[in-house]
Amino acid sequence: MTDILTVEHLMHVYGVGTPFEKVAVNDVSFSIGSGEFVGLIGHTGSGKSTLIQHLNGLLKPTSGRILIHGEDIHATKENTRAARFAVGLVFQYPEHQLFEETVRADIAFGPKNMGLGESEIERRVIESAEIVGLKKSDLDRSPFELSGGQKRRTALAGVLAMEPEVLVLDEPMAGLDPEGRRAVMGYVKEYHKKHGTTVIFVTHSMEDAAQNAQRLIVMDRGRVLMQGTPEQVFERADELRASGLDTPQVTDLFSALRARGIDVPQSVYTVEQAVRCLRELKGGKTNA
Amino acid sequence: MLKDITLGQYFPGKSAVHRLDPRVKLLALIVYIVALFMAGGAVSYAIATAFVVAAIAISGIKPKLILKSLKAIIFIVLFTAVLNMLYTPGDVLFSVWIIRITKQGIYNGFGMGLRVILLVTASALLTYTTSPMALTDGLESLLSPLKKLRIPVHEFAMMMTIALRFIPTLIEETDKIMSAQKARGADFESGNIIKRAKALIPVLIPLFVSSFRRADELATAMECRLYHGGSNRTRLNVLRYGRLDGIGALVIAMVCAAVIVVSKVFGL
Amino acid sequence: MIKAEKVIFEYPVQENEEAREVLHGIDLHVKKGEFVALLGHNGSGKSTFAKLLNGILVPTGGKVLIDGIPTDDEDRLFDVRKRAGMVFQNPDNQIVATVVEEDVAFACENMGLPSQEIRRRVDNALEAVGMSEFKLHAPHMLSGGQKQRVAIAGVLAMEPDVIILDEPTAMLDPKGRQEVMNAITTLNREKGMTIVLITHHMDEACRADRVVVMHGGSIVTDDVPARVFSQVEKMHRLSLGVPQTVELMYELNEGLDLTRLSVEDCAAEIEKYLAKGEDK
Repeated sequence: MTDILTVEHLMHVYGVGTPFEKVAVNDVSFSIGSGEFVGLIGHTGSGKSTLIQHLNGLLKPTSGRILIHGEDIHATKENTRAARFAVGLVFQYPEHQLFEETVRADIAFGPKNMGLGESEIERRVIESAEIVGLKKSDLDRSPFELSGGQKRRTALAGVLAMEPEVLVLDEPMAGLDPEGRRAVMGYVKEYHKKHGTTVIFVTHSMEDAAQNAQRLIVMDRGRVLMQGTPEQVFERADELRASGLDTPQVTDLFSALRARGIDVPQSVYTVEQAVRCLRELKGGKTNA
Repeated sequence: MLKDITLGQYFPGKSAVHRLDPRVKLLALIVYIVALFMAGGAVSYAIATAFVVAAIAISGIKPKLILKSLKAIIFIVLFTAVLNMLYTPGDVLFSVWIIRITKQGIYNGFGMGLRVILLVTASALLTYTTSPMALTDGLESLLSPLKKLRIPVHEFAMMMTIALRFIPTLIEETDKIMSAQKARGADFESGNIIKRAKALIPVLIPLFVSSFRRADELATAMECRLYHGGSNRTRLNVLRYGRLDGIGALVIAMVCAAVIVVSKVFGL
Repeated sequence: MIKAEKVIFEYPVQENEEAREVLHGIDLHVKKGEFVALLGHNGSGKSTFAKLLNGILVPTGGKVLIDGIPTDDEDRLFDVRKRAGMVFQNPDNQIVATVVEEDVAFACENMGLPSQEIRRRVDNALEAVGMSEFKLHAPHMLSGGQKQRVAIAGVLAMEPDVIILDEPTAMLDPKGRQEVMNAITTLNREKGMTIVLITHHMDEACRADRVVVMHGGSIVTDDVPARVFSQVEKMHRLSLGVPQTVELMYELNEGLDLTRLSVEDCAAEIEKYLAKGEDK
């Protein structure tokens, strides 16, 4: 797996030289492999939002570098512009950014800015609308007539239509009910599978991250607190709780079981794992 | 970035200047400005300057902050000073081409420049030491006699309060929408004025839409909290004149009177 | 305290449109001091129902009574709202003033209370939600959870009989959610405040005394949390999920007691289950 995106000693300080000076991102380094599905976790103020705005060059590092395919995105103006489209960033509550008269035109905004031809734009609009489950008849409606969930999906399609190599989603499920959450996550996963796009999924829910990502990066106070597979990260559940993150309830349950002197692993984070683990434990005991 | 703009420019503190009733401060500023424009001689200017310097010292506001606010108007000060210098007739000191510099001109130029500086300094001191909320309350209270003329003073004050409350929220939101549209390749920095203005449409439309939604939700929330206009409304913090206000008002009145008397009666 | 009788609600429609009934005859009584969670996904009618509870909307059929006062009596709307305080989802859009204590005082000022009384209520309300030290702060500098607690204090200062919270944590991060939920629970347990919490989070509903599940504009279940969430199949059918503890015990399919849904109870239950194996 080749690295598509590398962050090297990234540092970002807000309000340099004012009394409000604040280090938002502090010496952060990591690499993302091509086609990976990574969860970026941290509570509000952990610096994760500032970090992701560096990935497509919206913010300039105070120091450190961002590399896409090994090239510094701030080396030339062309690189910066290219990074804008190579890394598609879906902001929190993206439905609040819709502005065009029709859904079609809104989805086409990104591709148009990329300078693509009419027919290519049309193809992308239709494809991305389909991925997020918008009907063809919805394309000519005003985005402001849509339901909340449909608006969210329109905004998501607007970024997918840029066909970015890396898709960064900031809290894509915030404020949705369980059904809506499942739907949005489903579209993203399907898109990931179909296009092999690299996905960075930002959330403060350990549960969502663990269930969907192959690898997790946990941020705390502007630094990377830990990174690794979900098992490796949940192994350190106590540290996660200490940094203000909510661990899945089964993880808490297994901590409670350990406290009762039952020998279960700490790294359990889904119900299926827990069931398997308890069955094994029980089976082992009955056989003994 | 938009977020870096500090709004309201209020620096909380506990000095006597901070604690003065906002109404006293507002009236004081008006009287001071009148006195300033009646000042004519070196002595009266000196008194006026000394007063502001003393007020700054008491307030504990860093002189650097005052200088910063003056930096913004340096052009206006120079412009006023130069204009006065050039267009005041009197004893010619020297002349180049059609430009004649007179003694009175130099005097007037300095005078006008100083007036503008003092005016801005005094106003800045008012906003630095008075919270926007207190200023609004002060204005509402001072203007309340106008209610008899059926001018909706309370409603204006309420509007101002809500505006003050939502300015930071809307700035943050504008920032977010701009970032999001930039992430989709919008370009706000290049092109001519028309192109740039056009690029703002994707920002302004969502901003309007969200402002209407906010306004609607806020109105419902206010109604749920029993808002029904200004009638029968009481306040948590009632403005009440205290000892300090009496002393403050007296001092200010004396200084302003001194400035006027010195300049108009003694011509100094 | 709250009495909803055969409540029907239809949104007003334009011409040529078919009337859309979103609530079909809701009956609900909430007693003083109760903590009721209204659970349901979007479109279940739970938010519409919440808006009927303090007269933001009035029922098109049936009656809603707050402390015996009908919400559709326009002359007594003030009395209804004074008794039933409402906290909304977005903390930014319900804070009026630029200073925390001034905002908390807003409702009292509208009630025309004397200053000393407002002062007492504001201080008490801020104390109750743990925000006293922020009373002179500007609301926009606070975190989401803090803002929402200020909003709760603002309603609390009216000294209402019941507080209705419409998805108060939907826009918050886990820490903010925790803060707000703790504040709500404390108000209920220590001050005996009647609470109606509208939510789609299972874990929040678990904290209530009683969970009312809404689906398609009707009440489908109304019971204590343990019994509501032990009906795993039914909850799944309503696409509502259950806490992971219950899910786990259900999946184990070993006849564990599904009503033991807190982490501690579930751990005890599992310990018992594992120990049983050793006895064999």
